[in-house]
Amino acid sequence: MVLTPHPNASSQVPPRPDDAIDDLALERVMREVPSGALALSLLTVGLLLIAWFLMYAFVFLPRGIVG
Amino acid sequence: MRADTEQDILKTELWWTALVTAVVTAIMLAIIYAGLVHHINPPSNIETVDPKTLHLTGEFTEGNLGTRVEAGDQVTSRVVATQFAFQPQCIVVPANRTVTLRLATPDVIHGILVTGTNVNTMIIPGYVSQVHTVFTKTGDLLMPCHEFCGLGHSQMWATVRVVPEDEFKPGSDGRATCDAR
Repeated sequence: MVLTPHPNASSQVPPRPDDAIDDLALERVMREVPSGALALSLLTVGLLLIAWFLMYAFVFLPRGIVG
Repeated sequence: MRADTEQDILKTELWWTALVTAVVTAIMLAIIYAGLVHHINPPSNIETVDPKTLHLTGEFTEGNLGTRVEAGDQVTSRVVATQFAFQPQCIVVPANRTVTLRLATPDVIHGILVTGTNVNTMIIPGYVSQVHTVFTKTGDLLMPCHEFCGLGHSQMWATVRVVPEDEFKPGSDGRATCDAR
């Protein structure tokens, strides 16, 4: 089987000027991303913690002494 | 990356570290509180027994198994866990009194829990597992083996019959059985 090269394989397409990474835009993204990640982390850890304390208070403690 | 962005990220990481430390500390304090105030602790008895002669001599011979009221009104239940049954299959205990469960095995590792209570321990060949507890609700509680011990593991379970204190009537020898009720 003969593989035909991709028409663009041999040619280097120069990046379009509007693809260039804008430093200011990068800074803005780097500032904004952590707040979303933090919100998600707070939500998941908060729900986990609430579930743990609900089990602790309403299941574990009422079951009484053991040791 | 600009220096102030790096500072922001560092600040966020430190803030998150402090939060996680606070969460872990709160959970540790809750566990310590349960141990000190409510006396809920992991069973920590270390006592050895010879698994080869378990059924021949000592406290785990057949005649000694089950519930007995001992000196000082102490209620003790002795159970042997074997592949794939508990001996005895049913133990009777009084509600609202301290009960000591003592368990041993001559073969492989088993484990028990009593449903609806905090009783939960492993039973390891060569050791006596001991759990002190107070049952507050009456009724038949399931006590399954919770450690996979072989092909018959799923058939291995026993019953803890919790009866009101005034209905707990051991015989003259101090023994109480499910059959006697």
